[in-house]
Amino acid sequence: MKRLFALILFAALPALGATVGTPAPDFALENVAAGTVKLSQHRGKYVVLEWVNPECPYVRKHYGSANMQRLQKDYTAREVVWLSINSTRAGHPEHKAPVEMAAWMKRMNAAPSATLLDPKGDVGRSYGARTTPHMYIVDPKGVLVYAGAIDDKRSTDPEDVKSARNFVRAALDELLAGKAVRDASTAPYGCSVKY
Amino acid sequence: MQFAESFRYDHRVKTRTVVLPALLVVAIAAGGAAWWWVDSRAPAGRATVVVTENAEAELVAAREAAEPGQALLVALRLKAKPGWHTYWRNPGDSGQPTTIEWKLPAAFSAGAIRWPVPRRLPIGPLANYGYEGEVLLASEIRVPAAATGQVKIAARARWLACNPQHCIPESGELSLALPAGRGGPSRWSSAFDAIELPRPVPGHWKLQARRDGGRVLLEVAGAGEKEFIFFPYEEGKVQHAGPQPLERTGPGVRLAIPVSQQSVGQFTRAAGILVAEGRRAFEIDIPITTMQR
Repeated sequence: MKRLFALILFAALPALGATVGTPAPDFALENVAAGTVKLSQHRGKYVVLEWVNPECPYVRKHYGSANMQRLQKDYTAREVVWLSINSTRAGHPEHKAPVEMAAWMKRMNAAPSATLLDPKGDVGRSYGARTTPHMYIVDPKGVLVYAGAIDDKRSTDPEDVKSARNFVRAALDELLAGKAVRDASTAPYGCSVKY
Repeated sequence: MQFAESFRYDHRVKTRTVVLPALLVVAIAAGGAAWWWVDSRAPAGRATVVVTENAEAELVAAREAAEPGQALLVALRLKAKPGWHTYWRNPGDSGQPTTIEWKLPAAFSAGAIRWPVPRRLPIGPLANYGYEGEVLLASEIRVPAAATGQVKIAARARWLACNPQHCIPESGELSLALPAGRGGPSRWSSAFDAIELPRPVPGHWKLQARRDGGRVLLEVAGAGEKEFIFFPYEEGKVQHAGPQPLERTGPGVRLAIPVSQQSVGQFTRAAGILVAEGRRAFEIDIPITTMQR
């Protein structure tokens, strides 16, 4: 009984989130193209998780400047798996049906490995995803090795992309070169995830 | 850009000019105080009000004139429309602090924003720190001793306006013209007096903070407050939305602050404000020890 109470209490607590250096929570989410994608099916490869919401001005900064698409292309070409996840809850004004989300990504010339929907927000909560964008990197063993911002220029101005230090690019370059990630935890910036 | 149609950046900015005729009337009725006559060539207290899709912004001064050699409090008055909010210096789980880029006459200088006490604004499992409705973000403007004539204080302000559904970045070019010289309190002075600012910790309090697993325990000996919430100045330290239970202890109270699961940097100091009931707030900056109890 006590244990049950403890479980209920725990379930009622707000999202805590995944911590760098610990196993990344596994998940299975609907792919807007077709079928389901499991994180664990990509064991053996680096996996980038990108929280995305097309209606967010910070997301538009990185897609409007083609910054996000460039990262997607550069690293999927180097055997990195890129999963873009929209955790906007069903019923929220900014929610997108699978076909709308797929159409937006296509219109942006986005190149992730897959675009996934998390309308219940369970996966977002398990990672502690707070903003769009909020970026994570999982290593080939399934351990979280980066959590945080896309770069160090907190703004909605696409011009800032040129002078920003891109933490995701830096971390992936370090990882692919067999080095440790210098900035493994940074403060994410953006719109709130619409749970 | 092919997707430009879907961008919501076109916050049509309207501006209107507000003159303050009441003051002139007072000044005339007062029998022509010397400072006013000297500067009567230029209109006094002229400000642009920028009206965006989700907010209204203008620069307001606490006094009617910029007195040479003195500091003048000038604020960005930022009023989010009902249901919308703007952000504190640490915006919490998302969002962006409001910024003011001053454009001042030569030899003038501006101090940092004196951030009023924010509110915790829950958004689902997350929380933002900010302001609903109107807020005055005041800064001290140092007026040089040689200031004469009409003074134009201008600024570019940028803010993010959000409601629980959407976030819109907005900005405004603001200016305020006022005479150099001696002047009385402006019609905004009572609003300046009402700004809720954190104050120093009372002398009889004794604070200590220590790390206890996933929490920081903040002991405040000498305090009998029934409610405290700690708002850190930096992100990546605490769970912004997490509950902060308060316990009575022999000498005072103990606040349990949940530490972020995605900490950024070392959490070695409790630096921020402690907000008690009645919106009283106290600025703290103390080391966090790792000593066991």
